[in-house]
Amino acid sequence: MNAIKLSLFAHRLDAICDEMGAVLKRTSISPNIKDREDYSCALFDTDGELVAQAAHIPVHLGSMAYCMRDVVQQLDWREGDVAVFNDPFLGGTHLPDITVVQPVFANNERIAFAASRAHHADVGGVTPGSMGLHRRLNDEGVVISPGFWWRNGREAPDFLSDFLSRARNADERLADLAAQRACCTCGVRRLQNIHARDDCRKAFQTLLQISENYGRTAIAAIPDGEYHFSDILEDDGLGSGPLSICATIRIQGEEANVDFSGSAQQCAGPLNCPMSVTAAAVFYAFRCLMPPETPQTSAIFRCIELTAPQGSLLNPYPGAAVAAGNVETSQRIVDVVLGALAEAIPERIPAAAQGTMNNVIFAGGTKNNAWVYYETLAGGMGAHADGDGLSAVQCHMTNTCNTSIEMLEMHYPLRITAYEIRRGSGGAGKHRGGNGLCREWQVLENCQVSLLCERRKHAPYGLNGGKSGAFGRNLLLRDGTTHVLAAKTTLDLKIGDHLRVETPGGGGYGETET
Amino acid sequence: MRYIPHMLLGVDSGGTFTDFVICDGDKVHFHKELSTPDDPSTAILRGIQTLGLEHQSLHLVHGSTVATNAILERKGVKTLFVTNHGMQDLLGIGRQTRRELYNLRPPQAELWAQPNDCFALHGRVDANGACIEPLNTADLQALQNKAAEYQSVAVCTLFSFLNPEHEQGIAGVLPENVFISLSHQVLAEYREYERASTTFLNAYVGPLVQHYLRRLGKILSTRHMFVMHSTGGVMDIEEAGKHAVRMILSGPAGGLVATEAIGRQLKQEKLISFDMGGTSTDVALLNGQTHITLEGKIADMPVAVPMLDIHTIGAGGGSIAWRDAAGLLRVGPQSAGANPGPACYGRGGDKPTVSDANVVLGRIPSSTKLAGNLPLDVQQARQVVGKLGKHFALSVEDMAAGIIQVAEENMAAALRVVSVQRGFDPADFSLLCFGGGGGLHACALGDALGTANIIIPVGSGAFSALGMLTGKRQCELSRSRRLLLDDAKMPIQAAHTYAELANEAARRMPGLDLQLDKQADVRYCGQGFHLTMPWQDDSEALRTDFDARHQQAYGHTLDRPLEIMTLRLTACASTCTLQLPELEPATSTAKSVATSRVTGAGQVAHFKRTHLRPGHNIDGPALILEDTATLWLPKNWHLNVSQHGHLLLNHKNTTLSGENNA
Repeated sequence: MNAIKLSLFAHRLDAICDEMGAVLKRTSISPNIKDREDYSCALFDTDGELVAQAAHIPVHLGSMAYCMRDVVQQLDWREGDVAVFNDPFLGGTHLPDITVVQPVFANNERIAFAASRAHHADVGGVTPGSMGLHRRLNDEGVVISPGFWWRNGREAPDFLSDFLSRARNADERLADLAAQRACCTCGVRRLQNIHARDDCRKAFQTLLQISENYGRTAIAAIPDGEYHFSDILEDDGLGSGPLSICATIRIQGEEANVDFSGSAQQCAGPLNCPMSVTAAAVFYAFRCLMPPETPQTSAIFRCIELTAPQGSLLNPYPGAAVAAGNVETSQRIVDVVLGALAEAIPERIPAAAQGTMNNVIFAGGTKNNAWVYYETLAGGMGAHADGDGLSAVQCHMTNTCNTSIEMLEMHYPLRITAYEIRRGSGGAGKHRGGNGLCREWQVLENCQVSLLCERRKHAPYGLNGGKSGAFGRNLLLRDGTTHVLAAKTTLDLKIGDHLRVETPGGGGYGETET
Repeated sequence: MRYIPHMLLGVDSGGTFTDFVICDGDKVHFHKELSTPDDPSTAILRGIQTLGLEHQSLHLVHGSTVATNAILERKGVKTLFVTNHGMQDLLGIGRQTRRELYNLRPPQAELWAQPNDCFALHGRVDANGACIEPLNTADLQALQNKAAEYQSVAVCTLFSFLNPEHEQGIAGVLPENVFISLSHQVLAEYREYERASTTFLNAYVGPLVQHYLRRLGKILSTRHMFVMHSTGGVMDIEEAGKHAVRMILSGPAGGLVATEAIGRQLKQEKLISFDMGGTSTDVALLNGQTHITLEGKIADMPVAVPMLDIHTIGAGGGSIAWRDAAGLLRVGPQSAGANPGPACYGRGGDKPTVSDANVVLGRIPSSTKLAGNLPLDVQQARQVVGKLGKHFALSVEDMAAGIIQVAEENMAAALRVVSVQRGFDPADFSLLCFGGGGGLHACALGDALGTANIIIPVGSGAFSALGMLTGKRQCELSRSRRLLLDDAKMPIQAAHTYAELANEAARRMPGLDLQLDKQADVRYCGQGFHLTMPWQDDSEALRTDFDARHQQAYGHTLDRPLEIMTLRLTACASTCTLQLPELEPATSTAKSVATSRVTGAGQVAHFKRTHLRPGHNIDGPALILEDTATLWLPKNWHLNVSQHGHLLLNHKNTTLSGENNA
């Protein structure tokens, strides 16, 4: 296969993923999938190697690239099968991310897989929204191990019955799963069309071989050596902490070894990070060093070896609570990996970004009229050798939109009294870190709020003499008095209370010139 | 008002050419002038003089890029943004997303309004439209002083679409000589960021558009001057000045309106329009009629006023081919632009582009003249393509073929996604090509998409201007009101809002007999998205229709109450529709004017489009030449000419559908 044919083939695979995404977006119904685009679609070769992906959320790229080989080997696939899973310890990330996979057969032979992963608004569990502070995976939601929802072209209705009986709004779940299935079916058909003309299996092999070069070239550009960095998560939300994350990165030629030995043991709270998410965060950091046109295949990460001791925060035993591994721990892993790489290539690595997603969940109402509203808040990006960090943007592992103030006030008994850039919060330096933001809610009806935040005591680091960004603050304004709240907490709010969240600024870069 | 016939003139000012179409009785005539971007009216006046129309009574419809270019080039006026206390960073924060996922060192986006150009004041309206905090005089006084430094002021306060009294109060203290853009007048819909950015852009370009159009009206001394807006309707120049942000698609909308008209003439309901330019390609789907979107964007700013749903692909004739880090061939997104342009322009372009590849293969014949009558630089094209070919160990011709294949694959993929996103299979559609570059790739795209029919319409070189002649006087009004469908008060509230919108329409288009079309954005309570439904006074019927549409679109219905989020009213006045004249049929077979070698196809005959008459048939391979465009008809394609002069292309393996020629 020459370079032109391979280019055409790679383009076609990308186009299939885009088309799968279009089908999913059009047929799904929950806002999280349709509007916030918290999903991705991917194609794998018959061994489960990722060969193409359309991703909006970085955490999906790495985790899909990491885990599908294992899932593929576990099941005995037949034509017309549709598998579903969300188990964080068997290919998933956290429970709300549900993956649907279909094998692609041609002439009775399996040639590939099409898959889609989407964040569902609720997957059962004790807390609505399935993002609460719990100690066990089973309390976070229903765990679906890889299995067949459709077998040989026939639906197996029992497979999802437990899930659907426990998930809130089962209609919507089923509709979104059907959309994911339609999206995979589209991928299956398109691949079969291509295979009728060119043998996909050979083309996959060539594409994987070639794309490995993007990763190797990126790592070869990093000077050989051993680089260390460590940082902490402040607490697990249930009283333990700080939890340290240590990375040692060894670069030798075109190979990198990332070793998290010395990191904290797994914790009781939901900050544990299954290997697939740990890998996703590491892969994200290295992906940023590759050129924009890099194909989304698993081979680009072949030259990265990953080690995290079993039973540690970054490779916990099955059954551990993991809801926040995706949204908080993954951000710190990126900080640590980039921090280590900054020793090697300081001109290419920025100071720390805000390092949290500032998860805010309001819940209220009575049983028949209950409401839940979930938001993640942007913050500052780290400054870098070329300039200041961006202010008030989603950083690193996420990129979802905010909720419109008017939409929010029309639907919930809440009022926004401020939504502004937090000036002066970016770290000082030759280049300034990006500023965080402030969002303030006035409570119009008694309700409950849960906060799941980091970087409330321990600020995002600066680099090369740049100063740290400001750490974030969670404030309660009640009866004329301001109370500082914990980073992770759940509390009851009264009419008239104001909750103000100030998000961290990014770190500064370089000494301030005087 | 009695309709007084005038000479109908459509004028579309583009970046390179200004196109003219005149309709005088049953005759249609086309004309082109080189554009004068610094002052577009110069080219317009020159064209009118050349056509001998200075003393005619003209009814002129104009497609103008004045608003669009001022935004893209950031050459609008100094604008102050005014909003609620605590919200002064509304434009800066936006939706809080970053543009590039994997860039650790992203450049700072240039702010539309510096912090110092944003003014926040006390005063608040709540989600029910009630004033819970009044404006205060100290703030208003400070605003009055500050506003004196600005040419234009944009005001967007929360929930102004429910209760505009604060925006009106703010407007009341602003100096008389500033341009004022109030969000409840520009776009009375919820979602504050999208409304604010739309209102801001309206203020940013409004004074420029107002000045330009008033001056043009004076120069041409006509009172019958209209501007095409982004939904393909037309508005008078005073309205255009106030609602400049509605002109963003002023030019491209013309092409789509013309596509719709020609689809009607050929009785083809399903069309994909394809307009390939130098740096980008515009495509749109028509399924009987045009589609409207409320999610437009320009220069990364949302523009939430209704616009035709035109999708722009970042690939055109100027897209640059290159070899990436792992040795794969890429085409675009970088473009050689208009300057220096592709290497074949001979203006110093030193990177291989799609146009250069077409020149190398002979699909753009070497005799072709560029704008301004300049010759092609074939040697330069061969050299840059050959240089890239060395990296791939390919001959110059094989390299050129590879570039074209990759570019066409990119376009076909984008077309597929655009269709699927809107719920259609592209194979069911005919491709309608106009503009400069489309004809070179139309047949290959037809093959890739499984599309059997391609139409190259009459006037394809000045197609948007043709559309200007068919645009109706039209405006789209809307107001967000959250109403529960089952609420007993809902019918009265909705009727009241529709009456207000109808009054507003009558005020904007006085003296015309208006046709009113009511719609409503409806959804299941709590859903994050809506469907826009035709309005029904009977709420049970509306519910039934909604359930059916939801079932069709998403495969299920929900047992939940319905809520209305926004009421919409489109008002239009019927005008005469354009009839393209029939041409004299051919009396002999089509004669070729020359031949040249095309790689892979041998000696290929050239035909002049101006010579082609109804009844002519041409088998590929062939090249059909126009002044500003070339059509490449490959081996397996067949061309015939319709009675109106449209070129109808069919793949030889598919039977010709009879009605095309009826």
